[in-house]
Amino acid sequence: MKSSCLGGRILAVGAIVSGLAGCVSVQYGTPPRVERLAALRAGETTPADVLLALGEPRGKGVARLAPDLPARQVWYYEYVKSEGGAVELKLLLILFSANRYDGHLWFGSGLTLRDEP
Amino acid sequence: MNRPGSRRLLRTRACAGPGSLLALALAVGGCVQLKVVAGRPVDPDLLERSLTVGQSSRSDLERELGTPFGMGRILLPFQDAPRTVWSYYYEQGGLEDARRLFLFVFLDGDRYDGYLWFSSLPPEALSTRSRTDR
Repeated sequence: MKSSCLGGRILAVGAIVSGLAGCVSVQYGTPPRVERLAALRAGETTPADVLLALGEPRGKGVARLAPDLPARQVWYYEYVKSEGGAVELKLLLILFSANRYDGHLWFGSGLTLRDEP
Repeated sequence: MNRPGSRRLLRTRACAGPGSLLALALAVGGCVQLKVVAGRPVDPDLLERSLTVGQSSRSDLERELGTPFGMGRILLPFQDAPRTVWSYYYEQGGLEDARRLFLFVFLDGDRYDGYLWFSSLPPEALSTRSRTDR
């Protein structure tokens, strides 16, 4: 009876460890639609237009890049996908000035986690 | 009342222990509860509420925002010289969702010169005002 109990516990712990080590898949957000950025016009495109083009942002922020520049509103899009040892990340910032699209920044990366040799 | 199959299930549960069976079920089902916290929350409201761009000093920044998570340099097209960057980062979440804050402060020498922050966290997770008002 005792060995059977031990076997059950080992099975459970093994399942957790293997799940955490390589079988867990997570995804946060959706990939930013950067291919639609070309349709945005600085000084003209409104937040409503950006919403239609890119969808709802995951977050917001503010940029004040110098003392003599006004604060700009920021919309923040993020996407993270991790599957096994591979991690994919993509971030997009949309800047607004005076309630009009004013610029953007995006970057993405794919990364494969591996053990050190 | 108990059918033979039920008795076998009860016997198995008693043997493996309810905790380990639950853990097994969660792990196999992909539902392992995992809470992730990285960095430290910083209230972006402090950037304008307690500090003044163009006036506040390096020590003012450190007093209000705390020690930065990292440091760097930035030179934007309209700037005449590079600025020092202090970076702050905070993340919280689990397997189902995780959200984060990036906050960058720019310094021109010893003077607070500007900032950029963006966050997918709910504002109440960062606000010192709501924390102190509680």
